[in-house]
Amino acid sequence: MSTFFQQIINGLSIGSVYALIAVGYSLVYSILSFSNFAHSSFLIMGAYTGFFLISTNLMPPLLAIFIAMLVSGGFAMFIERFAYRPIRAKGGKSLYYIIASLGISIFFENFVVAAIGANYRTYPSLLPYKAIKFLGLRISILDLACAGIAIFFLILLEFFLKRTKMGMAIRAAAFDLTTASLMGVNVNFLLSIVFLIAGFLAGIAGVVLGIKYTVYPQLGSLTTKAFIGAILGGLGSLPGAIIGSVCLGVIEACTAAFISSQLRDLIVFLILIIVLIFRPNGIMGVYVDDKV
Amino acid sequence: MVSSYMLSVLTLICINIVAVTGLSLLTGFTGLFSFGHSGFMSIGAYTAAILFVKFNMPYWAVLPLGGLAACLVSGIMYPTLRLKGDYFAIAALGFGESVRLIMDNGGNLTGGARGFGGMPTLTKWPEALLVAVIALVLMRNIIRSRFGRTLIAIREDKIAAQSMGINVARNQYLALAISAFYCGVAGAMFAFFMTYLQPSMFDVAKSTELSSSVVFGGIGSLSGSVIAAVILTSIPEVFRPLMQWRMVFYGLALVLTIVVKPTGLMGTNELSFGFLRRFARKIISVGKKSSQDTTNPKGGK
Amino acid sequence: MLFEAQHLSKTFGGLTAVRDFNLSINKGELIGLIGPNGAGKTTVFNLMTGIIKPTSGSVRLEGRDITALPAYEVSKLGVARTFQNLRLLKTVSALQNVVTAVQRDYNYSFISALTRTPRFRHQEAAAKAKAQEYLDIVGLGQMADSRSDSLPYGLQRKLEIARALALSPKVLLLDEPAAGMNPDESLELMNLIESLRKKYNLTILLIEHHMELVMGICERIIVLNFGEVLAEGNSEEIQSNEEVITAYLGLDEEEDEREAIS
Repeated sequence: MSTFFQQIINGLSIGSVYALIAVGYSLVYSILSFSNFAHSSFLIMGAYTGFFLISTNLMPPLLAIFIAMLVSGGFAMFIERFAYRPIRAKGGKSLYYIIASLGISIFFENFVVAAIGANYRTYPSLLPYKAIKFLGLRISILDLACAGIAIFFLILLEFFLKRTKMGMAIRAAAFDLTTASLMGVNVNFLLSIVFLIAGFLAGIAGVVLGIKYTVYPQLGSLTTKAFIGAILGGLGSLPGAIIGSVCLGVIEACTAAFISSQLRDLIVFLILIIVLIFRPNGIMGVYVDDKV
Repeated sequence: MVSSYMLSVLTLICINIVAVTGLSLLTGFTGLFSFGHSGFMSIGAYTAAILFVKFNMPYWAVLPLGGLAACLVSGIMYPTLRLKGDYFAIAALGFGESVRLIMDNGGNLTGGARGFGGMPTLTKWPEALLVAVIALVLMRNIIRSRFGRTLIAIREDKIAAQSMGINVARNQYLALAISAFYCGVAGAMFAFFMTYLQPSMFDVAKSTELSSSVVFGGIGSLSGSVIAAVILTSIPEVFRPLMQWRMVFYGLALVLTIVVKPTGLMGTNELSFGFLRRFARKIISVGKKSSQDTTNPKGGK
Repeated sequence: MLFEAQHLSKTFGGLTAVRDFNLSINKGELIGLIGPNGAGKTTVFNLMTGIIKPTSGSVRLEGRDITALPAYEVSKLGVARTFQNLRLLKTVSALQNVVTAVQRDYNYSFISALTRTPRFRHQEAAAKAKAQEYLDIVGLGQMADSRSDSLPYGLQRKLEIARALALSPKVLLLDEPAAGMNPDESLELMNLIESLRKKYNLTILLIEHHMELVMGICERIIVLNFGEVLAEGNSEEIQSNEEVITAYLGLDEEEDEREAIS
């Protein structure tokens, strides 16, 4: 039984990181109604930038991480400005956004492979490899830090969305972008901020994942898991993204431990297909049908 | 004369043409984007390979059987057709990845990640070219018929299509099934070109290659898809040293095409004498205008 | 009794778009559905063609309950409609737009199409010829090969009518066919609708804002306001109905009074 709880802990840890990724992704979806596959590039950007900055030993690690977040946030804003805004100007067909985002993700991931190399890079150890013993369970400091960082930023985001003017504007835009713009919201500026946030969150998730595992170009494929978590929770809903991601993390951990680690990824994709067939609006029940 | 290397590139081009042509029916003409069609290629490839190696069935039988297998499996995707476009694309991605993972875990049947080999090189350029031509002619016949018109109507306006008596879901599935068949056949051809198979050959990157060919060539243009397949297959081969940059190139082409000219190379037009004539006329008139500007600095006559 | 709606209601979340709508259309009638913007007229159309499902109530065609049928089935049974905001197949030629509708009557098999059998050739030619006929009738004969989104607006509206006609409908629902047209064009359209009605013995339900069009050709008029039927009758009765005047023209009346006083 304790192994079961142990897996729950593991699942919560990775799930909270998925949640960080999923929330940024769901945020973009809630406003522009498209699946931003380029999100994985923001993550990779953060992971590699953090790695290189920390490796140079020129600055305290926390500063390096913060800069990495800024870089990935800035990168996200750049993508929005030069890839998505022109599409929006031409009518913003959802399909075009998806294709562009996929192109960016492929371009970027392979660019990293070609230009920097596919080798695994290990973050210098920043945290002790110890574990806390709690009620018979071992919780590593690393996992605790991952979960802690994720929760910290999610709370920050919640505060931003609920307590600031900009946050309110974003929530309005998520409801209906056209109406929000008609009410005086500067949509271009708002989208830049949204992507900045999404990039931020993906960046910190990238750093965290880089520390937890290692840094490699395909790290972005973990965002696929986060996407599935977001869909499981209900695409476009932020609480849904968190709930779905955490659930997915736990399911993953349990599958790997109790069934087979080979089948872990397969189960995750099967969950995706099952959700899409039987309950596409996810746990939170968002509206998915085409408008008439 | 023509080197055997160039002939093998031609063979690969023909294989890709079959797959891209099939996908263009679904994406270009019906308007459904898929990131999982490499899964259908995989099913076709492994089915054909297994039937040949373990059951001694002949080449020309296993090709359509591979297509059929892919076609049948596409039935799983039927419930996802009613979802919004995004969701279907994601479901297709999930499907493609699931197929890859299943093949990875196929044990002795598929050889798993180690691979499945033992196929002779039966897909040479004459066979590949023949299949590609047949595939194109049949697709053209489908598109220029009531079936094609129905699909185009669905792409243009689903509500209008319904009000014309078109069963949208069933027709979308028809397009999916046909595209799966085509990709299955292409996969089968591929198995006898590479002579061995690994699940990783049919991953998201492959799906994206197919989708980007359709987009790049022009959504709604069969000749565009063919031209794109030719270009996007041969360029990496021609520039061999840049092999590792192949996918970088694909990604960039995809983004640039969508941002700058979303309708792709050919838009919805087909390559024909009429098209070439109009195109030539346009170039000539542009040339005339610029020469007029230089000779009449004040403009006008 | 050809086409009828019985106690149709539709609520979207908290909003009641249509409440207890009743309508009976007999064969050959030309009925007008009018009402201020947002009254629910298009929603009624959507309900009666199966595009959306009612919260309660039923729709019958020739006595048969079609309420639960999907839109494409309703269309196949003989209900055709045009759309307020035009839903043409934009990148396709005018002729192909109509052929896509008319092809329902030409059902050669998939294999026929693949192998280009004589049956295929004959049916395709016949379908094209029939479609051309419909284009000629609405005055679009010359523009057959033009891309439908390149046509002037008025002609696009006519194209949609041609497309609906090509479905050989038992009932034709026209949603603001004269929207965006000037008085001359509206008059021309009015005459066209009348002549089509005679030629094809059509039964028509018409939503319109152009009062001259409605009062001119409709035998019976139904007024909708806030999703409910306000009044029903012929054009004289409707024009002299107090409630209708208030609902529709109330604002103008008050303004006239104020002007008169000052």
